[in-house]
Amino acid sequence: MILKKILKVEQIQKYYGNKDNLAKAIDDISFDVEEGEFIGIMGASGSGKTTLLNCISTIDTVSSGHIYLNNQDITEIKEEEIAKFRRENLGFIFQDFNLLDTLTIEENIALILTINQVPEKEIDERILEMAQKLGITEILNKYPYQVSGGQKQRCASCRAIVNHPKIILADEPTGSLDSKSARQLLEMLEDMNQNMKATILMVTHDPLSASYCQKILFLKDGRIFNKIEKGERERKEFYHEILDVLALLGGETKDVR
Amino acid sequence: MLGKLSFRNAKRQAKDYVIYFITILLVVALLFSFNSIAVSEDIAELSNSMTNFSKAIIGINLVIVFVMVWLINYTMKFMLEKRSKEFGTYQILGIEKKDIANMFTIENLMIGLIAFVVGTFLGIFIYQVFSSIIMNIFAQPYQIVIAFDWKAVGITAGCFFGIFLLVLLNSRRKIKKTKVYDLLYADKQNENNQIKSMKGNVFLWMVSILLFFTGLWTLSLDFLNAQTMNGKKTIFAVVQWIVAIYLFYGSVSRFIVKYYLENKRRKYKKNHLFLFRNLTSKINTMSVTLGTIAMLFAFIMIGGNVALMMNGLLNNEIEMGYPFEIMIGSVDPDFSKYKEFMEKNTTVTDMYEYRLYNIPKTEIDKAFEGTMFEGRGYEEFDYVLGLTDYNRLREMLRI
Ligand SMILES: Nc1ncnc2c1ncn2[C@@H]1O[C@H](COP(=O)(O)OP(=O)(O)O)[C@@H](O)[C@H]1O
Ligand SMILES: [Mg+2]
Repeated sequence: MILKKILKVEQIQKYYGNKDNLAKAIDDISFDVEEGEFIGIMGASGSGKTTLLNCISTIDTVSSGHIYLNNQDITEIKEEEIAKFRRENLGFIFQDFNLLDTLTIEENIALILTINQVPEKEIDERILEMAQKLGITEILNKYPYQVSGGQKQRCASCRAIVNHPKIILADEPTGSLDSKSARQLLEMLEDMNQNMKATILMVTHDPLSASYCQKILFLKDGRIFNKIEKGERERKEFYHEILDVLALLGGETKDVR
Repeated sequence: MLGKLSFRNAKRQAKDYVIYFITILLVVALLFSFNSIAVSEDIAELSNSMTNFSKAIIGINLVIVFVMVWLINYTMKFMLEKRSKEFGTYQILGIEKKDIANMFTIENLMIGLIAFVVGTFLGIFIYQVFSSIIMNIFAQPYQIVIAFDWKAVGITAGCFFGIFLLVLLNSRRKIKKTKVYDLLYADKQNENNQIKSMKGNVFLWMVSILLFFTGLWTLSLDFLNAQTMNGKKTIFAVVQWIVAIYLFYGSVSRFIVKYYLENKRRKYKKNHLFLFRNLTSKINTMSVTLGTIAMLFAFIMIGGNVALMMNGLLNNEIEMGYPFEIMIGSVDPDFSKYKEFMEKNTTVTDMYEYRLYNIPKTEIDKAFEGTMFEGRGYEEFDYVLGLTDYNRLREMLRI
């Protein structure tokens, strides 16, 4: 079976600062993501994970190189087309949720569908269906400030997947959660990936979170340092391999929780 | 959906920025009451004799308009910064920038509209108070009626929404221009960081007090010596006061918060921490808006006092220039017709007729330099009257 390459990152670089004081946040990174993959990006803090994700998610722009999502070069998208591109292709999960606190959970999710012009009749149906799958039906009518962090992140994930984006981008989605909620969320992401065919790109510095992925890229100083795959192994086994690679990455395991 | 979002946002904002809302409301109220004065016919009748008065009202209006421009601009900028993450989120969800700008516009228009309506009603009452004061000053009988002048409403609406729309347009431009990256990562900076040290605050506070007194001194220079009085010193004094007011509010509010946060026992007492964290996050807007309110009221007080004083001066001048009930001057020495008329139509009890003589120009003018009679001897000769006449006239005035 030939899987479609949904994301192609080609030799991208990202500099910060001016000519005299140049910092390379990303230094020549290339990789592909296939449809239906759950891929993790790991590395110590400052290694360029967020910058990489931001470039892919159109939040930031690359200094050089190209990124193709579904065969469209996102480094060349015009300003007027970017909003349309985002709502049709991307789903976001942020570390601090970024839910809109004047809207209920249900309205937060509905917003995505309305801006994608889903017919009104369908909206309720689709939200309910997805909420059932993700176990958040009880809190749909609450406001974000009335629910726990774990629940907020589940809602944010629901918002990210409800319109079936080409790719879901998550930056440290478990970063603000306690370990129990983190585990629940990761299981949910796994479920979204395996049973709803969501393609997920997740940035994390937590080896446990990363062990839920099928493939992991390790970054160091803005370069890809290593690449490992889970294959048919158990999660536990994969987790230990991750710890080994992190040890190799060089004394920075202290940085990693 | 976006409409609903706008509406909810407006509601939340009105709650979160009560001070902003109240300030706009007060400014509208003041603007409306001054506009009502400016277009009022009762007061216009008074102003015939004193066009300076309506000029002063227009001047005060201008000041309020400037304050309003600055205040609305400041708070909108502040809100844009506070909400930048929210706007970033909208963009990342795929909402068009144009729609985001429209939402912001609608939200603020809702707030502005409510502030305008409430402010106008409040202004009706403030206007009543002002006009009864003015009528009192000019010793005119005045009955309080709930007057509602559409012209004043129109001018107020024009000024207010004109400014509001300009500021909104500027905000829209900013929303469209700012990159999503900057919006999402803007909240890293906190207002708390800007709290200066205790010493710094005390210093600023002392500077504000000092400025207040130097302002007073500058003003006294202008008022104590009427000969050299011109507006320049007064304006300089007012500028000093404005700076003093803002420094005062800024330093005092920061000082209080800092004082509480630095003392752990006070900090964790009851819900102080929550309260003060909340305060610190809004302290800059608070001190600025409080300062603005204080300044507006200071202006009104000063304006009121100046009006009273001017009126006092004016009355005084009238007393001195025209001390008798009726004065008739004529080159024809026959006054019998006037006398007849007065006896028939008035209740004048005492009358006196005297003559003035021309003499060649003397140095007497110099004695009047620096008084209100300066420059009155513009003719090529001086007038004199007999000593008996003079004494008789003094007698009539009982001096
Ligand atoms: N806006 C910025 N300006 C300057 N340097 C930046 C900026 N953002 C990130 N960097 C630098 O780029 C490098 C990578 O940062 P980042 O991608 O945030 O790392 P990570 O997410 O892996 O912790 C770091 O050295 C960081 O200091
Ligand atoms: Mg990061």
